[in-house]
Amino acid sequence: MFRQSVKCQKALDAIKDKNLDITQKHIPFQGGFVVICFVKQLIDNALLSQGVIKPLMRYCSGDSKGLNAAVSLEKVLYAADCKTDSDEGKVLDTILSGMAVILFSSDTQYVIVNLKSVAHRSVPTPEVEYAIRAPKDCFMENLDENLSLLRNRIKDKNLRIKTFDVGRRTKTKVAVIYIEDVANNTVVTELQNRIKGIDVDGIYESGELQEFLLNKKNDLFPQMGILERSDMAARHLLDGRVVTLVEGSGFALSAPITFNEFFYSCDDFYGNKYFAVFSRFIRYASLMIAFMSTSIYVAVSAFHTEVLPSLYAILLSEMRASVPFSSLIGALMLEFFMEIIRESLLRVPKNIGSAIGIVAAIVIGQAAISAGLFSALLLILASAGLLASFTIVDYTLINVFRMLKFLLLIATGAFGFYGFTLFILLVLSQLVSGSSFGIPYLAPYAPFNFKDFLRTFVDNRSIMPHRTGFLNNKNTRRLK
Amino acid sequence: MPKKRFRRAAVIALVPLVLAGCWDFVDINQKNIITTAILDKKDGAYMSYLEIANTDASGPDAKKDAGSDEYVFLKGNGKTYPEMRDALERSTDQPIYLNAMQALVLTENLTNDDIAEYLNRLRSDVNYRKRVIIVTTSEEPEALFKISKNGESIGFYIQDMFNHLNAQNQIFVRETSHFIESLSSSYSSFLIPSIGINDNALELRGYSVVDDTKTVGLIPIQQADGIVLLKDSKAHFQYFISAQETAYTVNTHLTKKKVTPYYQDGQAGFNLDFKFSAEVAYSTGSVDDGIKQELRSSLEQLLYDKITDAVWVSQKQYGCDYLTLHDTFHAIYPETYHNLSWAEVYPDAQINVTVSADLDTQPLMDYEAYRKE
Repeated sequence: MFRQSVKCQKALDAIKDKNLDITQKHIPFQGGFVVICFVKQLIDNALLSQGVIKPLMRYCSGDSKGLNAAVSLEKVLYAADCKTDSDEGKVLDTILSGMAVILFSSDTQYVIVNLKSVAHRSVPTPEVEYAIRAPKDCFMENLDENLSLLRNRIKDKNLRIKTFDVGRRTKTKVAVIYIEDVANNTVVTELQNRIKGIDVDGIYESGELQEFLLNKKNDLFPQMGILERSDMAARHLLDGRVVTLVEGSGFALSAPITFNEFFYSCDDFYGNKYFAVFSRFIRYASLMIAFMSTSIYVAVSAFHTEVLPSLYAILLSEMRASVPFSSLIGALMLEFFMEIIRESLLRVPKNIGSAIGIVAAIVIGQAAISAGLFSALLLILASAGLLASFTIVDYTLINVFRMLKFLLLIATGAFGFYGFTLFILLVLSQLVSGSSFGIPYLAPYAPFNFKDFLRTFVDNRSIMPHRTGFLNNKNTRRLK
Repeated sequence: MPKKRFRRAAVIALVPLVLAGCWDFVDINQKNIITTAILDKKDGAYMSYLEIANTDASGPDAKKDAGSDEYVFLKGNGKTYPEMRDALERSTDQPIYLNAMQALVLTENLTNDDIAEYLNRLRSDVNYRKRVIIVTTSEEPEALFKISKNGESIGFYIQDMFNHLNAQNQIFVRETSHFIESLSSSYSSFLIPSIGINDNALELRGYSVVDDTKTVGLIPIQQADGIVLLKDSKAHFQYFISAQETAYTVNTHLTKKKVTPYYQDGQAGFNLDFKFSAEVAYSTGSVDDGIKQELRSSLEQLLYDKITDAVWVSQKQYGCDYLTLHDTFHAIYPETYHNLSWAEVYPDAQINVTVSADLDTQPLMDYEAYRKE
């Protein structure tokens, strides 16, 4: 009988005992045998047959004395991504992660062959970060494909990709990507440490991971940006940010992120730079409209009517004449109704979504005015607020303001502009005191830096040669 | 622990605020929006006529269809202003909203007696619109309400009329805040526009002269050019001037006005220097250099006469400084001003007027141009 390695036997026993649906292929040779272990659902079976089983069988059928891991790696296997290892504790995890493991009866080392093949869709088009003029490829659920998209865009030797397994049970691959001679070391180290510190049973999506990476668990505003498009991810890397990809997620995370970053769209970088500045103004204004419009209506129509022009005071009074509810109750009801419409439109199939939108907006809206539930002006403001909320590209920011809008309404309904101002100050203080991986959240507005202010507002490589200073990048110059 | 205390303190601070009546809002539709107020005084009693926007219908269109009036009227009276206001409040179903008021009309019955009390009342009422236009009238209040066309507001009518005339720089208008400010100073005299009815339409009749706290007379609009030139910095008039038996229509714009006070030998005085630009708008004849010189002299004389007449009426006829020259004197000689009784000094103040005008004849057709070539 051959001298069977203890490690090999232990590993085989473990696989057999646990009933893990792991396929074992035994191939005998002179003086021993090899066992190929794999999960057939995670493996490219054709490649396994051609690159591993066939050459091993051919080799074993001849003078195969002394076959071991090193020999098979050098002379036998036709595989691009393979290596040897000797840690018996990893065997099972390696197989379950989608690798083929080749155990040798006469060797304490074993071979790991990466033939992982998981069903995935082809490169999709963006659905969240929609743009008029921009590349159409975006991230999907396959980490390797996502990495290939990024590598294809940045061919720099300083591009670093560090992978981690997160989740005791899911062992989800997380890739931390940055450009070594640009990115801020503190941010990279901090991010990696936070990922290493996660001890949870499983992670499925980048959004879940983001929750574990927050400065404080009760932080309200998003501290990482989400990226659907690979070109935007590449741009963030060039800006000195760190991009994190999670296996199984179609969204990358970008850190550190500042408040102004949420107002960027990829169209800003590919179109006219002046129009980009104009668009950014519109997005800032949109945020204010989405957040404040109905609250200002309540303040003006119920508390501070003196600010209204005389004719409009009369007109507003006429509009509200048949409305039985106070401005506050009407505004709360309508905003709640708008949120229902919004939520339902997210859930309905796309084909009927637009039809439902029209029904909700026109039919129900008009009917509500006729029925005397709301005033026409309130409906206009709430609708404008709903539309304005869609101008912000990263929905994670606007979601926060959608919730805060109700609190602002109540504060304004209780104290008028006094309450309105107090609540806005509260939100601003929250924003000013926040940070993303050590970078002030409101930079470059607070702390104010004029040069960075210009760089962020006119973010165009052709006229702004330097990267923003507040990110503390190693290399600040991007245009030579 | 400190965090817990802070939360408790925040809750304790906020709850009374909420419970103590911060929910005291009143929606705009729950107020009676006043657009015009007419104040009168008869038989020792104050009478108030309010024009209220009728917003009870579901909307402007619906209201018109129903045939109801856009404005309704409310009347209240009392021996004092508080009594009059109480009477008004008692007869309304909703609180009175004064921030949309367009015009406050004071009858001469009232202004001949006293206007200071009501203006001070207006100053102290934070709900009053401080930009409201104040006018005087000798008409009956009911008559004014009757001339509003198609159910329109008389207040908006007055406001539009003044906006239109003011845009043409042919009148001067001061807002309520100006009158209140004037009343609070040691010397008070000003002009309030006066309106009347002519051929079933409103018209600006002139300016009521207020000396101290009541009106003392009226300057008709036909004699008010000089006042406008003295009070408005962009006055613009069109004059009809004859030269060598030909009539010329001249547009005249005030371009610069300088008021320089002086005090010599216990005598206050002013140098008023006016500069105008003028252009011949049209004519039946041509203009050569001689005619141009004559036209300019005539124009300067005309303007000089208008200004000096206005000054004379102010000093000699009424004996009060409604031209507010005392403001400039006060600014330059503050101590002297405080030691003077302006009411006594002003009628005898030396006021020197100089007028110069640049006349442009280019807008006229040059029928001899081909000869010049």
